[in-house]
Amino acid sequence: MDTEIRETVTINNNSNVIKATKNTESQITYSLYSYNNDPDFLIRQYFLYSPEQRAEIRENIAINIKSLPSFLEILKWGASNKARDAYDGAIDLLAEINNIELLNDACKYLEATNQLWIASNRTDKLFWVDSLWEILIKSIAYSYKIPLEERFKLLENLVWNQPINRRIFKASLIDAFVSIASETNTIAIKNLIQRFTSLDEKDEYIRNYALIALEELDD
Amino acid sequence: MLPTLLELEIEPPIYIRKIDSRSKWNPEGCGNNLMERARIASELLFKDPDNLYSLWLINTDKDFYGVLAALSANRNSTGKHIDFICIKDSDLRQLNINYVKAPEGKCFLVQSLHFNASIDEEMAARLCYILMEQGIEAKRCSKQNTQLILEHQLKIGCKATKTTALLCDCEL
Repeated sequence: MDTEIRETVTINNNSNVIKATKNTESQITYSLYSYNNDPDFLIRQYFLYSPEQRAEIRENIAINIKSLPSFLEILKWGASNKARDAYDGAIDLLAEINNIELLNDACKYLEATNQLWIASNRTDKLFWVDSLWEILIKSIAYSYKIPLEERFKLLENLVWNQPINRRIFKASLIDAFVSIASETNTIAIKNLIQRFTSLDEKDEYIRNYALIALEELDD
Repeated sequence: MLPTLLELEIEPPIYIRKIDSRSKWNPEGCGNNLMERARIASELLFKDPDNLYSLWLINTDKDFYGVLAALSANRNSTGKHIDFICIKDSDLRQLNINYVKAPEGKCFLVQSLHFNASIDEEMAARLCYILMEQGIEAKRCSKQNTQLILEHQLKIGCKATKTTALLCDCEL
């Protein structure tokens, strides 16, 4: 029988209390206080529609996404294999949300989740969290209803805090900066990307990835 | 200037498959172990519930522009980069992958260039492996190029854009 570990990371914020709990060595589960296990009906409906139908109802669905559990449910759908084109569907839906606090809380949740999985040797789960990060970071970049300065600050914090030393996380951040470059100060963007080109960055793939991004910004 | 297939180093005829992101084609922690890289990449990129995957046949620059417009048609921002992998007909045949013409999308020019391929988990890993073995890397149509292409498609009245034109150039 597995030894029960019960390692918990808790984040307190204004709207929710988030708890990620590692129960046993072989089984790790996450729970959220006040989280209803049945996903929001609207979200489920959205992902079961075709991409054409999703585009028509996206804005109205997004208006009803007001809680972190709902937000996380969309992230999970996007990374899952439960619906066709769910990845793009999740990014486009989350990009309609006009609430920087939700984006911020989702970042904190994933940081806590990542801490737990890194302690384990479950690479499959780390790749799963990578996918959640990728969708979240792209959503932040594309959230056109949220002022650019707020999105930029959130992405910048992810660079400086560097909570995740993972390839997909860093590549997503670089892509996000390239994506918002045309809306903002390109020099500030380039400086942030430049950070990934130095030898302090141990992943050669990311160093090259950042160099290609800088070339794209110079074109 | 609109990008060309030559500039993007795409050698037609070729099938392109849109992927979530370029970095998932190079998952970390695999070193030189191609088998492991292919296994992880296939798990990250081939996850359709019905094992049915869209392929677009590209013969010309115009086909590529139409496909980009079709892929962007239902997105809420049309200025996004698009990552994809290129697959040769011989790669599909080598693995006995079954693919059938399945007209899709709003661009009249490329509707008939869409195929559905049935690829299960094991086949996806083998497909990734033979592509990686050939040194094939995931490609990207940058945000800038995507925007240029979509502006062009709008100008010619492509039905995959928010055009108000009655007829597209390819209908004239």
